[in-house]
Amino acid sequence: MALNKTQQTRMSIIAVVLACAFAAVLGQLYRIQCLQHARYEDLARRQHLTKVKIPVRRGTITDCRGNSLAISLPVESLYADPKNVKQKSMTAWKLAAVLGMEPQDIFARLIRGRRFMWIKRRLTDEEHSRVRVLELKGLGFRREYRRVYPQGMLLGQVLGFCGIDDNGLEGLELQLEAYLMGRPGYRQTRRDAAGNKIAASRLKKEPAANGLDVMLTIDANIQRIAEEELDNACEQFAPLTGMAIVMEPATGDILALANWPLFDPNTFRGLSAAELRSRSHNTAVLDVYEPGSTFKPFVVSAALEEEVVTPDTVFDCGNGSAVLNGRLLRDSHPHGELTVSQIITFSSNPGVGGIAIRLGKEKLHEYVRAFGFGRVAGLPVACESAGLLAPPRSWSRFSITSIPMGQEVAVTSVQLAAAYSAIAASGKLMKPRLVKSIVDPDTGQVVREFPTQEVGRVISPQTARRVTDMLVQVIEHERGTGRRARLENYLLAGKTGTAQKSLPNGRGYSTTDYVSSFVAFAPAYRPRVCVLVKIDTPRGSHYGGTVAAPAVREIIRRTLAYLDVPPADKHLASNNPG
Amino acid sequence: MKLIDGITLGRASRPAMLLAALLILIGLAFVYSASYRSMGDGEGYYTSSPQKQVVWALVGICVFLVVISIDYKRLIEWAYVFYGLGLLMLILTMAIGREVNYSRRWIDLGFFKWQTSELMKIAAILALARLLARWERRAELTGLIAPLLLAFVPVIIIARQPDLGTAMMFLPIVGGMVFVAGARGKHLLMLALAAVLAMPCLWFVMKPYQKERVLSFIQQDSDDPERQMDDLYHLTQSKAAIGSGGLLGKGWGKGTQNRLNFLPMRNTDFIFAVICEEWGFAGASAVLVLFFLFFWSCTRMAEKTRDPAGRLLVTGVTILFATQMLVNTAMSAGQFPTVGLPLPFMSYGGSSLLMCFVGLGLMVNVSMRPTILWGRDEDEGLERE
Repeated sequence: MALNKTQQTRMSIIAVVLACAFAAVLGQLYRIQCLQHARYEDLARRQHLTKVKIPVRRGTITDCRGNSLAISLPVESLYADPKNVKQKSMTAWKLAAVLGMEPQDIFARLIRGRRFMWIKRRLTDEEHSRVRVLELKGLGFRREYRRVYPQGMLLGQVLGFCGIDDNGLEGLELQLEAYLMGRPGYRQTRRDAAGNKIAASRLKKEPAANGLDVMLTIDANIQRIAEEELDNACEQFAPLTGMAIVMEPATGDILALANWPLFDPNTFRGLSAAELRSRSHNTAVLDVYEPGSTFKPFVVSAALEEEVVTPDTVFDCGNGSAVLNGRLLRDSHPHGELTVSQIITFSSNPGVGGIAIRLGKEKLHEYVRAFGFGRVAGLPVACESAGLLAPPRSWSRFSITSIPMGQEVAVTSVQLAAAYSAIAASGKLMKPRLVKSIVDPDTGQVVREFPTQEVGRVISPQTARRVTDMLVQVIEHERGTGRRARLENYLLAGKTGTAQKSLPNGRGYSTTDYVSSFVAFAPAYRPRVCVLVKIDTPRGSHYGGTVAAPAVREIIRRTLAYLDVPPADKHLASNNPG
Repeated sequence: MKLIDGITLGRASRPAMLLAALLILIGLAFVYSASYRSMGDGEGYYTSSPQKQVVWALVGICVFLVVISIDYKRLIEWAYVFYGLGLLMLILTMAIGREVNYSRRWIDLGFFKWQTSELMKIAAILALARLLARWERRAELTGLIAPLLLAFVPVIIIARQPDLGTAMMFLPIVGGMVFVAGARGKHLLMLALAAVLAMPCLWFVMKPYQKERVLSFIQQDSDDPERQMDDLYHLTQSKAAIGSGGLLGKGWGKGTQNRLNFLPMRNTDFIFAVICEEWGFAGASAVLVLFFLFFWSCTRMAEKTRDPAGRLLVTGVTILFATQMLVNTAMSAGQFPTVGLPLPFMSYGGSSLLMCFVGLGLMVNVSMRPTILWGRDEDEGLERE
């Protein structure tokens, strides 16, 4: 009895122990399945769901007439799923023969423990078809897009370039990335433990949105003209860099923006990083320089507008050297007494200094700033420079005579071209424009328009006309500094600039290195284009009138012909303005 | 001559048989679901294991009928013979066994890979029941030597196969049976203490892969993806399957971790994870409840019988099934290091399923024959009611 009882009690104890163990397992199941369900569901999802990217076509960059400057073309890229490549060595050898790669390189990728390895991206059509006929296991193609610049070097530095994933790395490609890149789509697929895709319905899909097209204000034909003429000038004078810009004065539209040495974004891959940086540099917008004499007309404009001088007011230019404010100013050619007009025509330093002293430093600063200097022009360009323009309170006593000669100020080429365009456009300063509109390539609808934008009136039309008269004389006067820009059938208004480069140590100016520039607009009284050519450190000659003026002349001549601007009798033109 | 008469058959424990049948049927359904093999692109196939399992279930029913038709007392009389045969088989396995994954557990019979240790468990229970039913020295510490020795001989052999999981199963069996047989609590406590102290020593005889399993069990919550693909793979996959099942599960035949080949060994050792994934917490706890009811009816059988040998036999088999089932589910849920133990009645595998039928047959056998004994023991023949 006792033993039987004991045995039954002990059976019950075992039953209780079992019950406790059951409770423990049940508790653990509750914990995993109910409390931590989300965590494990996520873990499971990550294992059996994969996102497959649907490639997106990057937007096209076109010129103002719709010619493609940068376009994405579909290409096939080859990848391997190493786990499914059974005969790795044989596969590597066969691929190497077709793709012109090293078998060891391919083999190294095939033995990696990943499920996706690129073998070669952006196959040519021939490579694609040759790999396809091999019918190798574990390989696949993925549609990608390749960025192509069909115009070659045209607008190279401005356009910039894209990386292997069609992402903008430099220039407009980088700055307009938000418009161009679009939104890649995603497709969810199931896969099993071996990584095999399971064709499954009812899974999430996010369609790709193609990138938007960007239309620039650039005209490819004018750009080509500017680049050819810039190239000619640079071939002749072997400078460090050269730059040409063509702007439409009435709108501020940049029709051409050329940088020398020319750069082809199609071939950037072979270049070293440092070389790439210098070659792809967009000098016109990023670099500032002391403009030299091209700055003088702004001083004269201000003085005329403020009525402290008339075109005929006479200044003593001291026969080549004069002391102003305790500073000796020199001219390359000696002049005695000159009118304000003549000061511009012959580009006299003491003369413009005298005008500036009469104008006063507050007014001088006010007008220079009104012309757009010392602030960013607002182009879609990274690190666009504002230039340098000190406020009057920090000027030295020499500043009042330095600034009129284009020293102690630094400007970008775009600022200078815009300021001349303001004179050309009867005194209205327009904001430089490079991007015209954003277009949806699927619907053809304009998504965003960038309208032309007036910054403000700087000088009156009357003053503008008077300054234009003087700038015409720079070219038409037989001893004018810009006489080499003279054209038979068109009247030009322009100004030379021959600026000594400041020494790297900041103490004074070089006697050998110059920035030679010339800026002109034409036809002078009904201007269609304003052209600036800037040559940095030319060899052989350094006068802006010699180095840059012929290039400007040729650009204007060819551009006006291209724009169908009728040739006119110069004298009629000057007497019967607009 | 009739093997079995109607009255005897009528006494068979219906709840136990019914519950076992239910568990086997559910097991078959999930063996089927877990036999799917994805080949990618929505293609896949079923292995032949569901059919084989059906065949084994039918064979098992025959074996079950044979087992219940012979009076268990006869079987207990022959217990030492079975025990001896079992040991012989184990030794034979060591000699001519088939090596799979670095261990020899199977004798290849051509049509069937026979895991000899499965039947050894039953043989050991029979032998222990026979020994402990007439256990004169239950009050002495030295009295424990004989049953322990009986258990440890197969344990040593099986552990050397190596199959630590199965070897371990003998410990709760011998402990539980000695406990029910009436060993002194004091002695059992000493034994348990000795076992706990011996645990660290076990570490030094374990194979590297066994140590790795214990380590990865301890560090199972590591988020290192490398380890999740390596030593934590089984555990991570099992928990991912169980956890992603949620409350109601993904539906039978719709478990992603199961159908897409993520879960390893899913129709054998990890079938419980498939149940959890496809039937959720609700279905898994229902299965657990079925198991519990089954064991409950088993203990009822043990209580009902007046024969100590029968009671010990039922106790041993119950403990065997219960521990194996608990270790298997706890292992799937990350509460126990990974060991290769099948889920009784449910996992795919002929040896395991046959062992379940034999064990079930023995218990039903006992329930059928609650005989009043004509023995000498003073406890015998005394009834409670």
